Amino acid sequence: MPGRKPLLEIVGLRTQFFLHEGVVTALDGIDFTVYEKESVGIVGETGCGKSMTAFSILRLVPGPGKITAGNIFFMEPQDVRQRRMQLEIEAQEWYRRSSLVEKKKLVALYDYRDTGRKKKAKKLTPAQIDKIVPPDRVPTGVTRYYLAQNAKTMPASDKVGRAAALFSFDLLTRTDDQMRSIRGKSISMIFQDPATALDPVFTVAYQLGEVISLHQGIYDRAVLDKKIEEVLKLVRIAAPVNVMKQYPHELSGGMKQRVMIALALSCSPSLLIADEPTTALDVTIQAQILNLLRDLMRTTGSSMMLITHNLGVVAEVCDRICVMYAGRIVEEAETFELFANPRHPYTAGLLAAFPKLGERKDELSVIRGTVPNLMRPFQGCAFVERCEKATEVCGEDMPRRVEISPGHFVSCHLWTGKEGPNVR
Amino acid sequence: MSVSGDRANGSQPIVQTIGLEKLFPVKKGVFSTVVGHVHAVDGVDLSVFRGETLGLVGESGCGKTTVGRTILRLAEPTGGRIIFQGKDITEIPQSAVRGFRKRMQIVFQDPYSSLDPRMTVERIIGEGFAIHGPPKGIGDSKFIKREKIHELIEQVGLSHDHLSRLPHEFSGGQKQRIALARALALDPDFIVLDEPTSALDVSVQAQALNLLKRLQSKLGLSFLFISHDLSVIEHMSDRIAVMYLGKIVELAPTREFMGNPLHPYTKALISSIPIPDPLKRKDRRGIEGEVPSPIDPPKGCRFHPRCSVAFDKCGWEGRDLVAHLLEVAKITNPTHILSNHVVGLRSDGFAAYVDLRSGEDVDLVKRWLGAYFAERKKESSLLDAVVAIDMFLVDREVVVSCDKLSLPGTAAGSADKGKKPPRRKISARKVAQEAAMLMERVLDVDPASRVHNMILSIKPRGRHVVFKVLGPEANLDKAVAELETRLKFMKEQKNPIALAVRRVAIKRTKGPKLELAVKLGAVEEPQMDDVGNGHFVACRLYDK
Repeated sequence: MPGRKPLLEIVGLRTQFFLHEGVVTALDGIDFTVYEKESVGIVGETGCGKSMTAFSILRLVPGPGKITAGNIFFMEPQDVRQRRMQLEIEAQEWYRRSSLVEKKKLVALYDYRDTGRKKKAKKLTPAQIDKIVPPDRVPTGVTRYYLAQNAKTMPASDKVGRAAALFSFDLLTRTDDQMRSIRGKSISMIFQDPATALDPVFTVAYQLGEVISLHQGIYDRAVLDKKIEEVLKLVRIAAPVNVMKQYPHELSGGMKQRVMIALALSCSPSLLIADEPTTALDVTIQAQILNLLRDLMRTTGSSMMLITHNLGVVAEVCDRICVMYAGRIVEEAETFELFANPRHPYTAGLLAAFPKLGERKDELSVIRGTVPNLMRPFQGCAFVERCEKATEVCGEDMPRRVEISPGHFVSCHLWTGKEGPNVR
Repeated sequence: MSVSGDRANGSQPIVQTIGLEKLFPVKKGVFSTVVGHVHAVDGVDLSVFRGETLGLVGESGCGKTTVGRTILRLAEPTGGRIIFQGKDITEIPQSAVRGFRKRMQIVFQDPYSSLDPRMTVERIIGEGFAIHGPPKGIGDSKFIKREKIHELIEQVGLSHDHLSRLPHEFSGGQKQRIALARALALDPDFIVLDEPTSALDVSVQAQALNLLKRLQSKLGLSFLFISHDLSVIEHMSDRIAVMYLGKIVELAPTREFMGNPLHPYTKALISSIPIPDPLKRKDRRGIEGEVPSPIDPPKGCRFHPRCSVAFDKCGWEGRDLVAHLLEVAKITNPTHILSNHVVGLRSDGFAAYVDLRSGEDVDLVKRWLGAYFAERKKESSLLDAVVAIDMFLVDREVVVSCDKLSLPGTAAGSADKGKKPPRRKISARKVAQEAAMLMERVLDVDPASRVHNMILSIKPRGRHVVFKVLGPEANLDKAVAELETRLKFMKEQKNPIALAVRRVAIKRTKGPKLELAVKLGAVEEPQMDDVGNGHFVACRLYDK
């Protein structure tokens, strides 16, 4: 999008869970961007990786899960971003010019979990290296290696260049301490179930005060109380002074969610991640909370990433929508465009399967089958087994992400090679 | 499938509830004294006809699930009647209910917890046969049972090789299919579907809903479909009932319901639902506030505190007025009359009490309140509902004492013909309760009576009925006189309750105290009114 500043840029993000039974690929190469002052909706069914995207951004992936590839650039200045992209093109060029043997070696050595560091665990035998089929595009790990080499030659005064080459604005390069100061301050999150996300043994004032004093260094009780009252007023709680003294169990579901939103907004974050913020609520309360979120986004100027399974909710609130399926983003478009012209068969199926109020049909159209097991790797499109329009190529090749009209991306073989006329 | 708006005049309902009521006691303290009741289901009249789906929609906590469970006697009703295929099953013992359960089944919301994780699918589906006997047929019962289970599993779209598996091997949608097969095993006529698709994803939900519809038309089943999702309800139901705080507020055939919703709550509910079409995006202001507690639900129409079109006859109560006055006192300056002269506010039913700082202020505050109510009457229906403001003597009340009562028994109770039936004995406490209701009715029907606007509340207390009376001491005498004449009239008519009344007196308690009291018009709960086209609504706006 020209003229808009990206706030969060996710490139090729992959999150995997290393279980005893095998490797589950929860996120399989996600690309998307959240621009400033924008709300992006992430839609998908249970287990498609919506919430895992949020946890990956905050680097809170639990248990045996690990982020194994990709970058999450957050608040990267324009000049650094341009320089980085330049360097990436250079890396691609350098990789393309290397001989096949060199490519094989590079992939074997540096693309281990895409960290750009040399593989320590196993030394590959020449025969094994010989078996590797290097991809056309430069793998992330190899890029990282090349850029790190480049950064060594740059003068210390070239701060922009070094930042670009070392991926300084990539959240994945941050230390745990740095992450802790980002979470809740620059990026904050509203969790699905406010009943379990709030601590039952502390009052609302205590929990809000904790966040504010930690991130803003305010410790004076009087100032803090004033600040807490302000935040509670912001989320339209009628009697903030009473609510402050209460414990979570004394509040209703809608009130708890308001307190959660107050918690998330208390430090005016640049990015708010709302993970199913209204799923646990009744429709009338849901309408209130959605209105509140929409108004708050308008007044505070933050960006929002809204994760939900409810197509109605994203249609109400979001500017842009990403549809996820089995750990991949299958379609991305502006809200109006997506609902008017759903191009991916999954998106179209999902829209048709949703019973719409006032449009009663005898039979709902159905997507046959169920969500696939994420433990087995997909050669081609993950949707192939449930797709009505699948051809042979769908099972073999992973579809490329194609921009079919400005801002409308689809990953489907029906649309590969059909880029829109006005698209770069 | 036919829309059954006019079913009511033709066929018999398969299931009918009349004034169904389920109260859960709220207990407190060491001795678990009952301090109140949760009004989960409070007088619900529903009927489900053969082959139709009745959709029951409402927010969480409105009692929709309890209705479903009570109909099946999974929860014992505390009042009202349940009629299943023309037979009253409210009172029959649990052992006899078993026979009926064969014909009415339930599918629960959460398939993850409603299937026993240690049973194979075959055992789960066949469990009903173990209790109710094998299915009918000629030949070896084991063989018939197996055949039947195979037929059932195919009916819900699964295959034979699923039968030997355990529930954890299935996805949510498949589990719900198994639960449905179990419900279908005994060839029921009526199935309660309690949020059957809430735990499922959109694409799987569509499969499940289609399956339910197909089975219904094939097997001629009747469904009570309970859900919080109005879009799903609309898709599935022939008729839709909306529930709010234990009451049905609107009931209509689907097309009529969607095209012409009448109750303000229904309208708000419909407009709250986000539509998956950005072109229809709008500011969904919906309803303000939250659902009140079902322990002490609002009087009159239960929706009135949140209703945007409420008017004075909707049941405004003392507590609504107290909340309003507190709000007024908060925004006005501290020298305001409310903040300066008023110590406290309390409410009781349709009355609000204003506790004053000193006795002399009564007239001042009374005048201010009178002026304030008159001025704001047009804007606020709550203030429009005020009928009287006057001083209130806290230490004086009219007490009607009652005796215990013994009535001649009814012949139906005894089996022997010649014997005289035993007399029915009613305790004085019970008599007082009855008397309170009777007097409320008697004084309420006649607003022209001299005491109508004076009586603040009528409450039973032990073996007495206590009247709180508004105004100066003379009013108490008036009230006593009025009560005595009315009781005399009723005694002449041989009203047993009136005959049990011993005396009417003014009782004084310790310490003189003066308050200001505001009486609001007492309102009964709105009843379901037929507005045509099989459309029923419980709202004062549509009173005839």
